[in-house]
Amino acid sequence: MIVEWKILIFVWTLTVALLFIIPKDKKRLALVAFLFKQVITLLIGLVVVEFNLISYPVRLFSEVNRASFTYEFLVYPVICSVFIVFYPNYRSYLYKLGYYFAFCTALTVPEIFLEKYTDLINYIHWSWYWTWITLFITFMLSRQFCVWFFRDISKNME
Amino acid sequence: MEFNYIILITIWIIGVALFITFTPKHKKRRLILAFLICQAFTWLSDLLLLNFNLIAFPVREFPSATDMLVTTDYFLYPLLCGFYIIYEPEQRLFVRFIYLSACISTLVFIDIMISKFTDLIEYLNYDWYWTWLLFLCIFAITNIIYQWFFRSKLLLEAEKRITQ
Repeated sequence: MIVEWKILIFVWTLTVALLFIIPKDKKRLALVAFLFKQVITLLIGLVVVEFNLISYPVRLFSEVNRASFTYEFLVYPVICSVFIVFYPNYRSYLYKLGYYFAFCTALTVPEIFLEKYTDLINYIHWSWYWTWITLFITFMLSRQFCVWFFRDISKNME
Repeated sequence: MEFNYIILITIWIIGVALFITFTPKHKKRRLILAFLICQAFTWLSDLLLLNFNLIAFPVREFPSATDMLVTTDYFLYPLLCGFYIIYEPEQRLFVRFIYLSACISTLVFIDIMISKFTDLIEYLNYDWYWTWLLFLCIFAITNIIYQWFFRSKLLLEAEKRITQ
């Protein structure tokens, strides 16, 4: 089996394992973050492939989908769930900013290595800092969405 | 402009108009939640149907990126699912099932019309009753997850703490 498939299996296992660190009482928050992130990644993922910015030579459902199913459907949404449920809501702005930095960097660095040494992802007209910036923006959007969603939802349940 | 694209744009306009006019303000988030749950399932089922050559979308929004059709499966049908959820009558299980069947039949009727008169959807080794069954399952599962989400308002306390 080629190394790319081994990496994919490893990533799937690791991501599913990540689900177990989500606290039981925050399942709903994790679900909303996961699903909202899926909608964003689906669209952005399709756009970057359509305009030839990134390609994924080795991928799941390769016949019918040129975007990365693994990353967009599962990996990034799950990491976003983790990001949201452990968000340091009561800390200072600087601490929150550091939290964003840590997550974006932790996702960008492995991607650079995967780009360099494997066929899982290929930057065509793309750079690592675009990855970093889009991660930052989409994390922020998800956070805002969750705040908006849960602000009124409990009030409406009365 | 080509007829198929006019249909796609029409679907978007009608969808947004329906969302704006027929969503009660206090149920907006509930509709969005149902929408989000539903799109995850349509995404997955679409890829499987395409992968096994059961269905095809000859004209689509992102032809070189994917073989999927975004407008119906990620916008229109999840939106219908959202309306199905927020207008579901609080009645016996049997009544709710009839209501679900009516919603699914409407969806399938739209799907058949699109496949008949446009190049957007094409059934290969597939038939309308499969669409009916598939969406019955998707809507029912969405409803189950949705009901779980709102089972008890006390359970939302932890979420409130971290987002407010």
